[in-house]
Amino acid sequence: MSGFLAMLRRDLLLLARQRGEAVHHVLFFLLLVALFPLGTRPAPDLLLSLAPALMWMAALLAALLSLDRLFRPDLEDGTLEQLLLSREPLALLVLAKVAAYWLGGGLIFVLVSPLVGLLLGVPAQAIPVIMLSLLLGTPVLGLIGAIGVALTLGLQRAGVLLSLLVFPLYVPVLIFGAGAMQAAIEGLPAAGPLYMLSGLLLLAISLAPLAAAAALRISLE
Amino acid sequence: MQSLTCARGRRVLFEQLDATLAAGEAVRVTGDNGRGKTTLLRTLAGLRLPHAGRVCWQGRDVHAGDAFAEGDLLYLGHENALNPDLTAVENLTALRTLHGRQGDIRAGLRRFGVDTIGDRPCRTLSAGQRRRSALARLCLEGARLWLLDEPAAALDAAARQVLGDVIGAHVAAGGLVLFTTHEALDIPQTPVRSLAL
Repeated sequence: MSGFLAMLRRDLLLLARQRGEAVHHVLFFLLLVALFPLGTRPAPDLLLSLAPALMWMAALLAALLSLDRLFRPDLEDGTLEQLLLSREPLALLVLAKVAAYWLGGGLIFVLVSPLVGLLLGVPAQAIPVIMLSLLLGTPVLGLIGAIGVALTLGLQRAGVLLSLLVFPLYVPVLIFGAGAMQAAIEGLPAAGPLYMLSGLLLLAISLAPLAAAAALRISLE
Repeated sequence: MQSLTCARGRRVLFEQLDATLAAGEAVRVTGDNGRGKTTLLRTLAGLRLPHAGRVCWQGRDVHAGDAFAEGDLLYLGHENALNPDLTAVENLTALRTLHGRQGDIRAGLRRFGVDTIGDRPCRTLSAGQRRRSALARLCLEGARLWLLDEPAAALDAAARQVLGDVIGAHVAAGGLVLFTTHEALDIPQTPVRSLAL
């Protein structure tokens, strides 16, 4: 456990040093949502029906663009080797890294989502469900992404391959996350998809770090 | 190590390497560039699987998992394991906990003459200063086997002298050190065994 905390502390410290990245996340989210209506008919009902898909695609794209940050800097400066040689279980260290990564990315999405929702004309009573669905769903994106990054770490340019590996695994999150938002916007109960998201999150927390740890060991051979 | 063979891709680097190393030895791995010195050290650390053969530490297979569970191993690679946005002290504090070591980091930095710059982000340090900071890990207690890959790279004569002293003290205290180096490294009062690849 001390290893988990030490890892988390180190990565949060790093996050505080690289504050600009958090700002980039917010701007990315806002820009994407602001640009989207320019490409369609500017009709409020159309925007509202697209809002769930748009928000989740923004979250997916932001995750994909930032996933490399999880392990690649550590690979390049040699820290990753030291993590592999640590006495702490590697899966626990991976979990700490993903937690810090989510605090600097996914959590910001959750916090900005009410503003983005209002931009898209989402009714105010749907906002809590939108935040909750992102709160449950975005950590899963990081956890699944960690497996993909760990597998592609040995490659120099892994961007496209990473998305090919990871996007199909994001499908359940997209379906249930957007499903919950859609239901909330239409004023229907959203408990079903939210329970499914919670289940996905629990599954990902328990299995993804193990898979990512095994993948890291293979990648560093 | 028993009949160790290592390969990268289809190219065999060395074959049937046998050696038994005991506590209180300093071993310099020699060989030209590309002969597999780094590969050997990484294999001994358990980071790479050998093509054939076995590596045992105190009778336990390194590649089976828990041979270094007591924290016996200190591995220093080509890279310094220092994140450029963190200070040396922050980097080393995290590594100390992860490896379960004891000791004062600032004292280690002082030994290598870099304690005054221990609170500056590592990206502002020179290559030699970064290497010195990474070497401060040697001054923490707990590891018995040191695997040092080019520890003297980028060091000036004074720092090489300190490094030699630190290695000498570790060997005198019953530790085992394997290192590679292209620079001259003088380890006082310690016979250095050579392992040629």
